[in-house]
Amino acid sequence: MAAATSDHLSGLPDDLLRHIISLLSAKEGAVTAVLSRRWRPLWRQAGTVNLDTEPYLYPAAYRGNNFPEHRRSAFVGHALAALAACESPRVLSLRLVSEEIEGGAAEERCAGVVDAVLDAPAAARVEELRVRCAVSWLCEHGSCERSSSSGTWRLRLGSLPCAAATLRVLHANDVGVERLGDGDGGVVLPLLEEMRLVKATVSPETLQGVIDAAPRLANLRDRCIELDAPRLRSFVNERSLPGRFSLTSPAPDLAPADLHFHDHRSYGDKDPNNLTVPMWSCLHLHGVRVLKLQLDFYAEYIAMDADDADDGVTATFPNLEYLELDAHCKDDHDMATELTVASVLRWCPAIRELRLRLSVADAEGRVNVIYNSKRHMIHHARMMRNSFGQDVQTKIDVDVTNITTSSP
Amino acid sequence: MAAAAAEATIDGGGKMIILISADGKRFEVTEAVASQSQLISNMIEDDCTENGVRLPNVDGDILTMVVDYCNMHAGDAAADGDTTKASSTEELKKFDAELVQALENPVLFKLILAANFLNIKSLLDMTCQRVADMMSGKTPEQMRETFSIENDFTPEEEAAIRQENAWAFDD
Repeated sequence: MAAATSDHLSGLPDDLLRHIISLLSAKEGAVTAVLSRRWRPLWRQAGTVNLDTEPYLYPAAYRGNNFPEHRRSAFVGHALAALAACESPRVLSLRLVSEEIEGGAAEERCAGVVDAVLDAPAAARVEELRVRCAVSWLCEHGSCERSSSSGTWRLRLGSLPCAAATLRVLHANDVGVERLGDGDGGVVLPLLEEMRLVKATVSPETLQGVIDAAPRLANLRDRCIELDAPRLRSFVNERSLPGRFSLTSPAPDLAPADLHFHDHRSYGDKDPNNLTVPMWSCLHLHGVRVLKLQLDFYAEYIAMDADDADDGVTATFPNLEYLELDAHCKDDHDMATELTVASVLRWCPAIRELRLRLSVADAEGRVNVIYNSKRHMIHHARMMRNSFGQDVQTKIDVDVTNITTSSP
Repeated sequence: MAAAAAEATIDGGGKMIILISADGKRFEVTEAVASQSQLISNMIEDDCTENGVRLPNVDGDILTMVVDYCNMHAGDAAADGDTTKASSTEELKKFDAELVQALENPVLFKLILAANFLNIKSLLDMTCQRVADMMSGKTPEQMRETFSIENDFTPEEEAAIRQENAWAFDD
């Protein structure tokens, strides 16, 4: 009996069917009501409303006019119906596709649509809000200077009905985030636990403001700053933000972390001072003990920073014991290794084990995705007294990968 | 506690445990691999995996797939110094895509049930997403046909429900 039913979708319990419905668009979810008696109530209980403007666009329409008034009102009408039908909307995801992003017209339209949805009574109870703007293909394929549509629409946290009441998780992709509201130091985001900002436009002041306003915020992500630090309590940013930085920690009590620094600019002749000093000085990660760090640029650039360490950039990771560092280096990897190890020892007085993996880029300084030869050189330099005199044994493991381009 | 956990993560978790399927097949896996299942992870914490873990709801062929999946994904959690991050991520994506694409209806649902029972969130999400993708873009009639769902409404009832949710049926 049991074996026979598990051959069919109907063999799954209701909560799994609800989970599957929660992965469908709101409209597709509502259609499942008509499948059978058992399915009829499930979509209302799925707890998730997924909205997407794309099916409402006229793709072939005259440029800039592919989301005309009657299509916008159809989208809003359907969105409100879906929200009203959902018994307890916990998750609301909103994908905004705009074909035309120049000028203010698209921005205004998007804002009208989004405000209408987020002002719905049901949306005020949302715990998880995911907003994503999708750029026009023109921009994505490089005709535009910057492939970001973050000018399209701005999420105003202060005036978001759910923010002050129920919002726990906020993911914003390619959206501007601004204005917390004019709260006089009061808590604006009482329940916010996780914020992920990808390619979002956000000022350091706003970012700091969010952290100050959200006592429970443990996770913070950004295309520039991607953070997930269980004990992150302070975020001090003095200068421009680094390219990209991510930090994830699967086990909070372990206080490990995963960082990824990425530099958007070309490898050629960037000014390292722009990324090294702020990169480290903006971080105060006292809780982190285990760290994976990935740098998409030369290790030498972080190493250069070691010279400036005397003016206060010390012990960025005071409790870090284990570090895995992936980075590129120029052709002289011995030098890079030496500099990097010296820097790490300076930042991490408690370090016990360092695994350093350096990749050598080609002559132009480009690291190609396709590489045809790998040379591993593993130096086991089991040493060494910490250069700062702490009596900590440090194990250092270096792996240099030589990357050559596939072109002749 | 935290210190012990830290060591386990760094070493990749060397201890082996045995999983026993409904039909008596035995699988030996490391604790690191097995603890991707929240159910087993809890059992490991409670120290009750000594004599093997019996999984009466999971058949051997399904458990084979689950163990393959967990072996593939064990590197996600553990700090593994041997593989480069980029290639392993690529491999994983390919592995997942191939696994999901190859799933046929009965096996897909059994795998969903196993992932749910064992509480392996990533596998559950992936397999449920596959079902959602199969539903997406289909009419109710096509959905019923794909998933053998019996329409137990009278034509009048069905028309009434369509009317009730008319917005979902207009283009």
